[in-house]
Parts: sequence; C-alpha cells; structure tokens
Amino acid sequence: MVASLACGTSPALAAAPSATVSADQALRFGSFFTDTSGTRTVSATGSVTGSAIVPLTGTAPGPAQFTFTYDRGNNANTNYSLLIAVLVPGAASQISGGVTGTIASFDTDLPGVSALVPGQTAQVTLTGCQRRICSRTFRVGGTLQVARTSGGAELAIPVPIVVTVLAEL
Amino acid sequence: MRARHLLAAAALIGSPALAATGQTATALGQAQAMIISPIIAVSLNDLDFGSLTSSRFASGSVTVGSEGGATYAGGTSPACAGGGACAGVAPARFLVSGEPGRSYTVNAPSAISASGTLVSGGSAPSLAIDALEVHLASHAGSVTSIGELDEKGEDRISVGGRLNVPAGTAPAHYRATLTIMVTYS
Repeated sequence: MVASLACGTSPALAAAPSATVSADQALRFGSFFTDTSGTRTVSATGSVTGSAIVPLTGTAPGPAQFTFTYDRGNNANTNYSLLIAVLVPGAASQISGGVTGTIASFDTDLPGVSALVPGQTAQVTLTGCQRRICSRTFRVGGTLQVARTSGGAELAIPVPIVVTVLAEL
Repeated sequence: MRARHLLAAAALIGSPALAATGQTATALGQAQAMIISPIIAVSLNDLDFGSLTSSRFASGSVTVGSEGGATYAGGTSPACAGGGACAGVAPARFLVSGEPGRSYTVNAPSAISASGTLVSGGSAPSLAIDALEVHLASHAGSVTSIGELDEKGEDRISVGGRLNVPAGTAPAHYRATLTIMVTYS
C-alpha cells in the first residue's frame, strides 16, 4: 500500500529544481573616438546615444543578451510564476593603456525593472511559466564612460550577472 | 486505509519544498568597445615655391607638383644657379597618425592667399595660390581625399599648388598658411 502510493505521486520523485543563466551576446558599444572623455549608451532596446564621442565604423552597437532557464524538477502541468533577483555584482571597468572604460549603470528589458544598479538586486516576477522548463531571454544595456589620456584600446569588460530564484509562485 | 490518507497528506504538504528558492545561477557576460586613438596630421615641411623672378610685362606662375618638381610658366623663372628648379622647392608634406587600418578623409582648401613683405620693407600685394593638389601615399598614383592608415597607423600627405605671379611683382617674401584637416571616415 505504501509502495503504490509513492509511485503514483510524481512530486515525490521530482528532481531538484535548478536554474541557469547563459550569456548569449555581449554588450557591444561599437567603435568610437573620444578626445579625453566621453560616454556612449546602448539601451536594452538597442537605442544608441553618445556624449563627447565620434562614432566610427566597426561592430554595430547592441545590448547584451542573457537567457535564464529554470527547471522546476517535475512535469506538473500547472501555471506558475517565478520571483527572481537579478544582480550585477559591481561596476564593470577596465584599464587598457591610456584608456579607462567604466560601466556604472545598466538597464534591462526584464519586466518591471528599468535600471540595474551594480551591487543592488532587482526583483523580477516572471509570469506565464507552465512547463517544467521555464526560460526567459532578456537584454541588458549600459552606459560606458571612457576616459582617455593616450592612444586607443579594445575593451572587453566582464559583466557578471547573478540570478537567484526567490520563490516559485 | 488510514495509512493511505496519511501519505497523501504528506505529499500535499511537501509540494512547496519543490519551489527552488535560493537557486542561484551566474553568467559571465562581456561588454565590448573599440576606442579609437585620435588621428593627427603633423607638418613635415612647407609647400615651398623657392626663389623666382617675375617679368615686368608678363604674368606667370610656378607650379609645384604634389609629388615634387616645379614648372614655370609665363613671366616667371627660377632664380637659382643653373636655371633649374631651386633646391628648396618642394610640396608640403604631412605625416598622418592614427588607428592602423582605418580609412580617413583629408580636407584641404583649393586655393589660399599668400601675404608678402617687400624686400624694401612694407607689405606687398598678396599672391594667389590655387590648384592645390593633395596626394596620399596610401593611394599612390591617384588623387583622392580618402586615405588609409597602414599597419603602423601612418600615412603621408603631400600637397602641391600653383603660385600666380602678376607682371611687375616687386621683390618680396611671401608666406601663406595651408591648413588641412584629417578625420576618420
């Protein structure tokens, strides 16, 4: 009697839930010239603006793209939402020769979040999850501040993203 | 039967534990940017028409080619020993430095004016310099305003032109400012 009940209740056999994030595409600020300092903003929606820079031909600017995937660990066919916390741990910066690049602020197209401030978590509710695997692709833009004392540089600044599942709703 | 009810209740109570609270995932993205070093042009030498004589009765001109050499027309002739072009005659030369492999555009005037100082003192009427011709080392053999920096990030620009000398021009020293502008394409 006990054995038959255990087999008939699938949650008891469910795998442990898991979450992953993949970096699909880099945040691309493109090529530009600045005399001593300038900024270029590439938004999560892809709009590009700049201050005290001269855009030049090269890689087209565009937002970063990440994909968050949640495996709830069972095949229960019920709608659910996820409450997640998204964090960019700190300001992203790089010094290369006479060029310093810093990304002090990010934005995203995740629902309900306009800005990702380094060091501060942003809570996001992902609705409409139904299947075992719930996946969301989101974009991240940012403002690159450049200070230049000499020469040029090819910047490749690491941008870590940490996503924590706070609750399955 | 009693045991079945107990197990079912346990399963229901246990389901919230399947919510993955605390599950953390990290991805290392990247931000990329190419900051281009500035493009600059430095003068290596001036456009020099050398010393010449002018006729009292016929206008003339001296033309310095962008790749060197001088030709005299009308009432002008070189004022150098042997009757050839003077040693100092040369086109203006500039060294352009910037990002290797990048193309750039050079803008130069088509004509400028040289102001003069009479040998005897005082100012002389200005002389026109026209037909300014820009030659880029990266495009040898053709006249174009678009150049390309080599693997060292360099290119060379030379500028020639024609100095127009009216008849009866008094002995004087003439000087003009030739400004070029280079920008990345």
